Amino acid sequence: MSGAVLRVDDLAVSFGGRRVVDGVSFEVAAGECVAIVGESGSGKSVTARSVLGLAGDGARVTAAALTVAGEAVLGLSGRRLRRLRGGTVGFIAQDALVSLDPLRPVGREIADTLALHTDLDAAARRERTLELLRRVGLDDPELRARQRPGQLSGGQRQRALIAAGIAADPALVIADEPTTALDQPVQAGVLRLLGQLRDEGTGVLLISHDLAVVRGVADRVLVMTDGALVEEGTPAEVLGHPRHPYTKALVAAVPAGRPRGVPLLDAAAADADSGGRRNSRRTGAHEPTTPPLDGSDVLMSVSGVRRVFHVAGRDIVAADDVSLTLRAGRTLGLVGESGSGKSTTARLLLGLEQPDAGEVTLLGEPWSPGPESARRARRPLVGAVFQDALSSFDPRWTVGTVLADAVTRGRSLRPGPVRAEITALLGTVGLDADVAARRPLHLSGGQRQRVSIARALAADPRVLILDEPVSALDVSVQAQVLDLLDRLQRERNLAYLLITHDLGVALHMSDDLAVLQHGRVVEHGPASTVLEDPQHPYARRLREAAGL
Amino acid sequence: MPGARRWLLLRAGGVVFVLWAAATVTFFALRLIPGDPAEAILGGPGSQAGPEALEQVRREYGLDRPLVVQYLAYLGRLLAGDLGQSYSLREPVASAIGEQLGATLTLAVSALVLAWALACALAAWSVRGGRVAWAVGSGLELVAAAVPHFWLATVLILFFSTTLGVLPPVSVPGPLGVVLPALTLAVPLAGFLGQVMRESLLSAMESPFVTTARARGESEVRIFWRHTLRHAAIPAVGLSGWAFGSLISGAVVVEAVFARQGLGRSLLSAVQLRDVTLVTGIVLVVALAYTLMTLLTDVADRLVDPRTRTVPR
Repeated sequence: MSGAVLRVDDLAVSFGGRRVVDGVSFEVAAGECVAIVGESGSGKSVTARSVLGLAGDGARVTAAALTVAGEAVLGLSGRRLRRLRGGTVGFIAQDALVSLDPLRPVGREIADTLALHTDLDAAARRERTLELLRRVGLDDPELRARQRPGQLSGGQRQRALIAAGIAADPALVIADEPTTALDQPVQAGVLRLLGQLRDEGTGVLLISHDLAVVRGVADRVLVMTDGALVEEGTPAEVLGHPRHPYTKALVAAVPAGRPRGVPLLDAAAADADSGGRRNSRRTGAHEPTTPPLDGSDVLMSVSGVRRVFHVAGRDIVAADDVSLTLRAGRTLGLVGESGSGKSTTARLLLGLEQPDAGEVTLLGEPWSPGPESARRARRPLVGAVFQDALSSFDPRWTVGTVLADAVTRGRSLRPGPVRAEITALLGTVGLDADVAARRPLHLSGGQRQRVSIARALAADPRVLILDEPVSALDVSVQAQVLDLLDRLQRERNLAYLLITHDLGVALHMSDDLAVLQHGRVVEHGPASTVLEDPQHPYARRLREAAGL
Repeated sequence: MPGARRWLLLRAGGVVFVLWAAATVTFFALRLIPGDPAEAILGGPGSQAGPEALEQVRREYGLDRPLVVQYLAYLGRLLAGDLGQSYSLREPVASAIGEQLGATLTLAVSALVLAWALACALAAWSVRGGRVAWAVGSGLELVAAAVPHFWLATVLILFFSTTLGVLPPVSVPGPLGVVLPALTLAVPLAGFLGQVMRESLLSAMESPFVTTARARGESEVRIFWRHTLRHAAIPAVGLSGWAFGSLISGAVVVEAVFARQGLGRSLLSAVQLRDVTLVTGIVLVVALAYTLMTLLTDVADRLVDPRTRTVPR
């Protein structure tokens, strides 16, 4: 095929004898966007980085052909390779605070690419930097160029990363998870920008774990698992009529569009992650119930809560007249962009943050504001699960110690019953008893999140606050954890507050939805009403961005 | 920018406060020492000074006045820049210190610069050299940080003066004389700075921005000097103020070993001779140098790590 800016033929990458990429072949033409989709550990990132000669320390890379714009990458000298990087191939990393040097203004990082690959003098580089920032859709480029990554929002940083990646007009752009960690409306903007690049004739290789992301922008989708490509086609073919079993499972695990209560996975697939333990086989859907009119099922109630933070002389209203109700056996989904006050609301409900006005009640009794001593005895009633399970554990403790701490809550109990309780808890979340001897660091992301759910259940709570519980997980693992949460809710009649930026997850899990914007609840009601017939313009925008 | 000026004013106020506190603590601490200060001035309890002589000294030094008055008078003299009269040297403390300060500052500053150069060079080498160089580098740092000054001084004298004969064993005037004393002070400090830098160097090297830099075609050398070293230097820069203080106390030993002029030697002899005004004067000057150095490291910190500029009130 002529006009291919990237040709990969029979690529294999191994680390110390372990093959992570095996027999991968594909091409990217000029003006084409090819997406590689797979979960973590599938080898998709290593494939992309091999193109730049950056597969990693100790990687053995072989290929029948690996050429960029006609030039073979393998065997290039250090100097030639450095000219290729940034010059012929632009790399766009996933947004993180530290994807660009946090100590330097972003303009300098972009100008560095120009200094390496063009003959422009300093003044011309500055001019071109501003032009690039404008091109990627950043307002006030003069200001942005002087700001450091920490002073930009996630979306702005991602745009700056794109500007740095395309600075030297590369023929091929590799974007590695360019929209992960971004809110949905911001995601849409970044994807439009990539589409624009493609339309201008640049070849784009997009790496993502998210099928929904690639749907809008990719011309072709390659599905990767265990280091091999298993399926290839247009997004409509791959998503609409997946042929390979892995792709089928991947498509099925996407919660968007799955009705409330319908399990995402069948029991056989769920068993794979939980180490062979048989989950109670589910029967039928979790039928949404209508709450009793007398309000006897209300477990927590937030009324007129306001919380203002004073930061650097400014007042930031994180919660403004927020009123919510958590009911037994029901999930309230709380959605909104980052900075809209979701996490502050969670902390207010947990009694970790005191409201400036309004009050929170638990089982009809005052909960917050008030002294901690008044809450302590009732704390077991409210549990919490956070996004970053790993950092919520003491890294020196084993899973058993973590759970024993939660079971005993500081009381001295006989070790026998505690051990039995831990085994029972692990069983509840679908983990084997021998997990207790392991450390959180050595568990998979899904297993860690199961442990943190077990910890939250240890005190036998009535309410669980779930703050982005599945955001860091691959889609198939996410599906397992969501199914687990749904089962636990039915078995224990738990009330959930589910905070998520993913509307697909919110819609699949929630009986009621609340939409937050700038600390205010702009929409609140049964999930079907809120997302199917949004009244507030902001809720409508969210809905569109989610592609629902 | 007004924020920076405000910050600097606040910090300068802090320096004044520290100096006042040091002066106050030394003043009262010396009054708490058992025995009659007038007797100490006349040469200690063994001097057998008569009551008239003691009375005269008390009047002369204002020791017969209430303590508060003495304290205020002392502060007043300090504000006027008068550190008092040294009993042992029979000259004003200020001029005695002035003669010695230059030598010690030269020694401390050259040791600090040398320590930073050694630490950066070792970091650069052990980053480029793979796993073995990394292990060797951190081993060297551990040994360097652990060796005591007096032992290192002896070894350096034996090697460079006795065996090679390239450097003088005792301090001579001129730049050549400062090499061995500065090296003696610099090596343990370099080991310490290197240890502090190593961990942040490792995490900086694994940061995504290094991948971003590689992916735009930067060479490893440029990535080290432009990106990772700066991140690694942040904690070490913050500790340099403290390190400078430790250099001055290290100077006490090193100046004695190399028979070198300086504040350290003056302090040693002043303590031996119980010359309290000289000790007080040196303590104050060291406190001043220490606080100014801390102020300087704070400025350096803001240059290296711009994020510290936006600290909420």
